[in-house]
Amino acid sequence: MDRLASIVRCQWRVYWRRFSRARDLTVGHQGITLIITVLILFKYLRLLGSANIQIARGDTTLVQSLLAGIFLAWLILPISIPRADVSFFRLRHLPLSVRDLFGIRIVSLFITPYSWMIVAGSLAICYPLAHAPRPWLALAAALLFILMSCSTGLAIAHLLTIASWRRMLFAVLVLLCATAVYVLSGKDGGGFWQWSQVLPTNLATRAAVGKNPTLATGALVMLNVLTITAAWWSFWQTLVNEPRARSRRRMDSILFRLPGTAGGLAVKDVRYFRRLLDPYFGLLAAVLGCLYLVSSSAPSAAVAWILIIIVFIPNAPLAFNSFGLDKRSGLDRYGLLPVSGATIMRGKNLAFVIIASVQVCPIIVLAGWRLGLSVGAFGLIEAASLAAAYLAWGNWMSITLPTKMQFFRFAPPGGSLPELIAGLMFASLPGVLTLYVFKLRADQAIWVNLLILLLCGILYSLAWIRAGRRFEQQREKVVQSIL
Amino acid sequence: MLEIETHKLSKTFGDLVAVRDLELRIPKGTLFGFLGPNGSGKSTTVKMLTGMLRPTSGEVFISGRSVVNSPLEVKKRIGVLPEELALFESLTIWEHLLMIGPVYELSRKETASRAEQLLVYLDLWQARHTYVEEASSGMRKKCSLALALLHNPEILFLDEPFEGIDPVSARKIKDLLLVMVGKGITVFLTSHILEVVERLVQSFAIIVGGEIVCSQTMEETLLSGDTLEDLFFKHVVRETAEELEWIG
Repeated sequence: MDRLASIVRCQWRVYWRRFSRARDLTVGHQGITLIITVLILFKYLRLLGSANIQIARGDTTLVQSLLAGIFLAWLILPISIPRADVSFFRLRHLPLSVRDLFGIRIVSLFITPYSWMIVAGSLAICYPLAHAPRPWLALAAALLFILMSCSTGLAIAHLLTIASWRRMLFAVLVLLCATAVYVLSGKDGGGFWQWSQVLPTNLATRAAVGKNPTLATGALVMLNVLTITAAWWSFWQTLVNEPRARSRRRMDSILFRLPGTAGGLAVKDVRYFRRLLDPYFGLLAAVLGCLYLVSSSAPSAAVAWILIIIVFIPNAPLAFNSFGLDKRSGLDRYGLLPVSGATIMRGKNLAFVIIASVQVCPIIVLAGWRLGLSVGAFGLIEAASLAAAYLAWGNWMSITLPTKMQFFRFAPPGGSLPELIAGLMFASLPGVLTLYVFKLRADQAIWVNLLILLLCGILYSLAWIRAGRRFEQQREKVVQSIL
Repeated sequence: MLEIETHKLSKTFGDLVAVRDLELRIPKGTLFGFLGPNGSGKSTTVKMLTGMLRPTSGEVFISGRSVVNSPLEVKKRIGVLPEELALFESLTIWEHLLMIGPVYELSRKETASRAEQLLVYLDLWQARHTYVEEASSGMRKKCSLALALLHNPEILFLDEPFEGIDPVSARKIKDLLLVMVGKGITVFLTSHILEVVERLVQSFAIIVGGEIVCSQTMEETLLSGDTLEDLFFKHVVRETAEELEWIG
């Protein structure tokens, strides 16, 4: 037990030491993050109060929504937080069994304050459920539900580290989204609502107030057995799936022939960025947007422009934390190259533009095809303005508040949540203005939008030059922050 | 003509003085060895000489240019094999070379041609499509060396180039260094393998605790009747193995 405790203690130290090592780069931002968290907590407590009243009357709608939120939180937690900097694959040389390592894995999940908040938020659901007609069964069902959510999150986080499973999970996600669109359009004739009876959120509330409570609880127990087994098996898979030396496809090397000094650097960053999970949500939004534009009988121009704004949002970490995936070794190479900081930033910005273009261009082309060339042209101006605004904010933030990111994980909010929110609002502004101006003065919209693009371009240029200079001066600080 | 010159070069990290008042004068076409125990300030010195780390005080001149004032000009002329190799983990060996060539203003064709020759020479050609993160430490080191050589630098800085390298490749690297020095290229080398340094370098310096304690040519050393190892241990204190009583 002592040896496991010593490893966990080290993980604890590693996690918390990051804040002291970053020094002035993140100090002060934790306070604002705490304020935002308290506001969310306040809203959550109010919802719990309402849920308490509703469930006493036999209405489980709000409790089910809150349970769904808890499930999502547990799903995201293991995927978004780094595993407290320990690679379990590299711990295999120690005399520790798979069970020991799995134990460390589970305990390390609860090192961060974000996980404490999720645990507290999850347990708080017991408050309304304790006032249900069958309180003891309801509480047992709630705990089973939380355990199932946690093990599902763990299983998915483990599987995302294996290439074949990543592809499969993305296909499942696309399928789920397509099903959601189908159900929401009302074309399934209520079939989904029959199936929804076996959803875990429904099972948990049925144990509290519905019919067949024992059956519902039994089903939850079965789900727990399944998900815990999946979490264990997937963890074991991450230990036995040794990365093999592979040959790259020729296409990737051809990409390295992008022109210019920063061309090769940009392709390297495209390779890095596409190993982050966030842009895949942008891709998902783009796929759904394209489906809408192709299948809708009367597509709307406003919806097409809103889609462009939405597609950019999941890509924000690529612009706002462009050094997050680099390691000390890579940042040292930047220091050795005979190029200015501005050239390095240009490479990173170009990579962001390449990724965003892959997602946005099909929407623009389809909008032009279905709604006319002018709508497509507006979309193009809007996308260019959005890209410039994202990069203007992102270049500043990438140098000032770099945060460590990990491959095949979601970008963590790190110590920069307020800046992230402010950045998203600022960067989405050109898109919102495009919509507003078109609604207000459609005849002059093109000129106003071109003016917005020009302003965003100027802002971007200033931010790019300044970020380049600051990177040259503060490279070592950036290294310290992402270690 | 002096190719590498430092004047009162110092670096401190908080209270720790990593390098103190370093004075180096290395002529063009010299193979210079920079020796010292772990943590003596070798790598910090290399970082300051190559513009990766800003000195706390003092000056560094490479080919007569100040590293602090003209870092890009200096970086174009030097090749560096750094201690931590400075590689991007998700790129293949081949992609590293393709990426770096244009940065040094080499054409695509020239980059590919030189890269192929270098990788064949360093026995990396078959493994060129291997990800750096999946390559062995020796392969990674040779990849970093290939990056340092690709643009035909005037001065080469090598931090522990023979560590983790197989004997065949080590011999090839030594041969290459001798050819380069013969053509007037200056090589600044740090290594723990004293026998290799003794046979390779023309002059050397020993740094202990951030200060140079000995600086002379190999000719002077041989004339004094000492080996490089004798000279090294005159300046570096070592503990005896007998103190570890519990072992065995």
